[in-house]
Amino acid sequence: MLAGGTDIFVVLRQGSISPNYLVSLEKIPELAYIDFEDKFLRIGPTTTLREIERNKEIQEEYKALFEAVRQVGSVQVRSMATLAGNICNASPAADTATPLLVFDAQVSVLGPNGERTILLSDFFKGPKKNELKSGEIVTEVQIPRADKNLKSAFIKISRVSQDLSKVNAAAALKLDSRKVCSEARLALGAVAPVPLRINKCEALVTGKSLSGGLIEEVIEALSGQISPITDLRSTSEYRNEISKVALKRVLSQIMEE
Amino acid sequence: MRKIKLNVNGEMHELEIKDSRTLLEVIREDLNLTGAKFGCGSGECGACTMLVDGKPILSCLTLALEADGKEVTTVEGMAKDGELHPIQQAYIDEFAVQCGYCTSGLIMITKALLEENPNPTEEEVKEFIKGNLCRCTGYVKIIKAVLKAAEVMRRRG
Amino acid sequence: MAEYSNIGKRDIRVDAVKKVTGNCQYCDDLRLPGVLFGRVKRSPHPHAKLLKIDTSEAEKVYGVRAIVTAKDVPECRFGYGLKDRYLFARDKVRYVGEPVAAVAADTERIAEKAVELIKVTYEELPAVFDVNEAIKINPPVIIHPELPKYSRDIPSAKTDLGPNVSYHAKIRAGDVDKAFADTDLIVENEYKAELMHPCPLEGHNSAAKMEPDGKITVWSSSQNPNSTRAQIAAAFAMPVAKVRIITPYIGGAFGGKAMVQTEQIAVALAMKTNRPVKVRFTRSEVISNTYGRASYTARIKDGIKGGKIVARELRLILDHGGYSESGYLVPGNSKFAVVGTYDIPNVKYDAIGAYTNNPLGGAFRGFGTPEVHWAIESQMDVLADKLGVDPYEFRKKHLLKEGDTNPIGMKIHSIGVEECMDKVVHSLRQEKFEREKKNLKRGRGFAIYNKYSMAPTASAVIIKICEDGSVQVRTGAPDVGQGSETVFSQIAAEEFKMPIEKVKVFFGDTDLMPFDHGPISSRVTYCTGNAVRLACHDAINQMLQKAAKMLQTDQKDLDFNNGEIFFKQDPKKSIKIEQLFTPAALAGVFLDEGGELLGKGTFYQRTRGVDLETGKVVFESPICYYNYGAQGFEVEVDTETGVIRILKFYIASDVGKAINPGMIEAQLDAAMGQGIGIALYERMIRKEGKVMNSDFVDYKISTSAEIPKLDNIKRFIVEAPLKDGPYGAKGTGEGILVPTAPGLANAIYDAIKIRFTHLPITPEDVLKKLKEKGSR
Repeated sequence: MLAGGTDIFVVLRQGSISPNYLVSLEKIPELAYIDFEDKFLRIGPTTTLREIERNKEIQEEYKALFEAVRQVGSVQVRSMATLAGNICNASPAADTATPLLVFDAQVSVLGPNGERTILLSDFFKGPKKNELKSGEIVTEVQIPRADKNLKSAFIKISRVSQDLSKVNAAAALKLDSRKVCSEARLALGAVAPVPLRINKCEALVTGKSLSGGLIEEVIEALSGQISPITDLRSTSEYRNEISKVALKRVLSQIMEE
Repeated sequence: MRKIKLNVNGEMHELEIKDSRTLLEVIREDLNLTGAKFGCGSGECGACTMLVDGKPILSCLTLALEADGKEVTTVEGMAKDGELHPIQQAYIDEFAVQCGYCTSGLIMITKALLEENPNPTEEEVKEFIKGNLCRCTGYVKIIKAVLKAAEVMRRRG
Repeated sequence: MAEYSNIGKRDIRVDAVKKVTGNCQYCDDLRLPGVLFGRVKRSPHPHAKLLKIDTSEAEKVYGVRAIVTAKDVPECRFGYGLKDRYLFARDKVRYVGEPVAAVAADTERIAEKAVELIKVTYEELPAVFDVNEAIKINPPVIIHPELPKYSRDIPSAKTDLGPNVSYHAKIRAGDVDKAFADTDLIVENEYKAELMHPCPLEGHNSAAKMEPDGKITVWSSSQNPNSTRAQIAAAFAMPVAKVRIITPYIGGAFGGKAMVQTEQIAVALAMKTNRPVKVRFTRSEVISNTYGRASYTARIKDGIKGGKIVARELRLILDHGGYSESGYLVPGNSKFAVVGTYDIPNVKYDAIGAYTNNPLGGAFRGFGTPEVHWAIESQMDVLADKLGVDPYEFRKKHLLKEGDTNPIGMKIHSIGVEECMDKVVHSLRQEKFEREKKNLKRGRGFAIYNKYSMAPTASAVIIKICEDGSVQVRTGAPDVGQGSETVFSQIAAEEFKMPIEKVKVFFGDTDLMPFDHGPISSRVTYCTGNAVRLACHDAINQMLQKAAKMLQTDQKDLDFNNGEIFFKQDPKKSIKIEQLFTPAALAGVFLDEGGELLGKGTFYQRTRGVDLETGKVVFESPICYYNYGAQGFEVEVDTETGVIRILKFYIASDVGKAINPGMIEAQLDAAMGQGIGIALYERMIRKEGKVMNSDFVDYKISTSAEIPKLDNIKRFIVEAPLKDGPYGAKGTGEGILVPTAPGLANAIYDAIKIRFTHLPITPEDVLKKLKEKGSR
């Protein structure tokens, strides 16, 4: 299935895949939409990252998603790449994945056996492996509407500016007027076979008021929750260290808002 | 083989091409517009940047089919009636051109930037063009050229 | 102070319009009717016997027109200085990626498919990847057992090291052992760097065509067309006159395109098919299978007495990989870097180039100088720190001055290094500076450099005065982006006292253009520039002679300006250049005597004369000149992530005379690209001889977002005129890359008091050392 082509063409050229056919969704303009509805923000399967980046409402309501999207690749890549495609590519380092996880996003899927909805936390199965069965395609990305009290932040640490993440982190916290957190969602990318929510850390924040001391506690609890590897981009040692820094920084950003 | 129609720099072209050919290949080889360059073939260097319906894209990762029926703008379409576009003139005046291999792609991304944001800050310029790699200039004079072009274009209205 | 009309002007580049309109033709832009596309079959093993090549399946693919292997080409070794390469592997492969066969087909895709179907049988051999193991007298593996038989254009000093050493360069000046025995302090350190690639945006590519008369025409992105021509001729056992190299514009070279890399493959396929063949390396092939800068280790030992360095011992070991090419010349040339800046009476230098089964390591942009300076300029700060003195004052104490004789007996001339250092350091230090802000630590540092321009090289130029009064400059030196076409135009315009628009430069055809060593070693402004001047003088002489005859006077009575030749005593009595020509019936004009107004000039930098065993000068100057400069930085280290940001960048270069200040500034800026790349991001990650990151996804080069604010970038052009440079000018193309890494390392040390000695300096390294330091 071809939407933007920015991932597919590279692996096609390398010879890692050799499909008999490529079906393109590009000529169906109706598939590119960003619809704010009562319960969900619905994003069409061919909506590009650039369209998302330039949407002022997304910037306001889903700050972490905006921050992530604007740091993917380059303007050219974002003009071509789609959110749905980025999700299906299922890279553990995908910048869009962690914000989508903390916003509890889900995808609508259509296949030979009909439609189903998959929570993003169930969608990623491993590096470049997703939950889609043969013949299934993603038809929509749905993000629950965020209320005013949901504050979010995103951070990406990479080599140079146009780069894949060594580590990325997203946080979404529901804070009341006294900055007590009723709901905490924290996610890290590029530190495990899939981008993932750190439930242990989330539990520490829930019901408490954000403070420097609490943040220190949270990052201490990170040990053992992640399993970063050494690869061409970075070392497991470094990733372990900066995961803590990334988490600290997204929490601090929200705290200082 | 498939028939496609490309409007390139205001000229209509009807072509018969193999499905698997990229937009970069067809523009360079069939239409002989060799301004856009092959730098890496995997969308990392930006040397193949051109505009399709005004959007800056990587033509090495775009099938020619995908541009069927669309308007393609390449660097060859920037000068009008023998007069250089202010962006081109700014690149010349600011010494932003050395080996020139990245220049075509950069001029197109500059056009996309200034169409969207006629008054960019230095930081905004750096962020917008970071998908175009250059090995000769260290980017310094390129950024100056973009800012100069913006200024000239704003003055002209 | 001479007043010039064109020299010193910020003339816009003469090729700029072409380049901004997409009308500039590079090699890959050429259209050759009936062209085939060539792709290479490469060895997957770092060291193996080549037993059998089975091309039968590949030959069956429709669209495949020829497959070549070693049996289709002469058994001739060729190479840049040392002839150690075959066109295709014969009995052995010595690095991952070595060409074993090539296919010419109707399309690239067909050629790729066929390459995959070629079956090669190898017997794997033990391989050596550690250059320190490889140089031993009894190394684990001998990579070129026939090395003693290989012919060399440039001889090496004798070596007591092992059979994998291809070149050993030496300096023995004074008596280091005696000096070390009487010192207050001895400091030893080791500095290293990984294998790096120049990554020109235009990858290596060429095309070849057999002409009906048996001549071969090669279109190439080579920066050194005459050398390419000689190499192809040698490799194919052809007379040089049967080879023609055409170089259109080049999309960046940086020293990596001075060797034959795609050309020989295109030629072999063109010969077999009798059709034109194009070979364009993929980006992956460019990064992992063409020559970059060898990885190296530099061990330096300095002896201090009375606050000064009295003895310096430096040992540089360079890893060629399987074949040496440009790497062969690096050790010899690197000698000049050791003794270019500082007056140290006792110097012992050994530079060793050795084979391993690693990927190819040659040289790029600096050719031995950055390697030496990574050690020396880091070490100068280390010494100053140990002595508790200012690194700026410490360097000042040791600087060579105009008229000095350096440790190898060279007379020092045109040395603007002190002014460069002063400008950079004073500018940096006079600004306010906040050292610490939460987790961010800031520091300042600088480094200075010398960059030799090698000798002997030669440039020949022809100047033609055309019938419309315009001037043609014909040179064998292609423009690799540095702007030589413009510089030559400015020089000719200056000499002829005419506007630059009336000058046209032609380059890039060995059949039509005179000889030139090409843009290597920062030489064309000086060498070719001088040849342009000489040729201009010759042409002007002929022009005045002709005019004198026509005006019935003596040449010495005449002067000229802007296309007119006139009597000195009566300027109104004049003729135009156009009038020197005679109208031809129905056919334009011609020169009625002497054929054409054709000026000729050769500039031949005198022979390099150094004693191989001591490195000392035996005849005049062994190099053309030194370019000097300095770079200073303010950096910010994020102590939580190890990420380094460059906040300020100041650069100074002594160019002798700035022929075009706008272009020089543009060159200086390159340090923000390749310079910081080499220091902070770039390296080929090797695993068992294979490059793991041969694409831009993982071989990271800097983007526009990495550079400091424009207001925080300052450039200083310094002029210490070179006596025999054109108008005093010399080049600066490579020098600007030399001090960036040590300058940054010195600034990082100032910020966090950690000395990094292994390039690139990654955040992983920084954070690791910060943690170690913190836990102590």
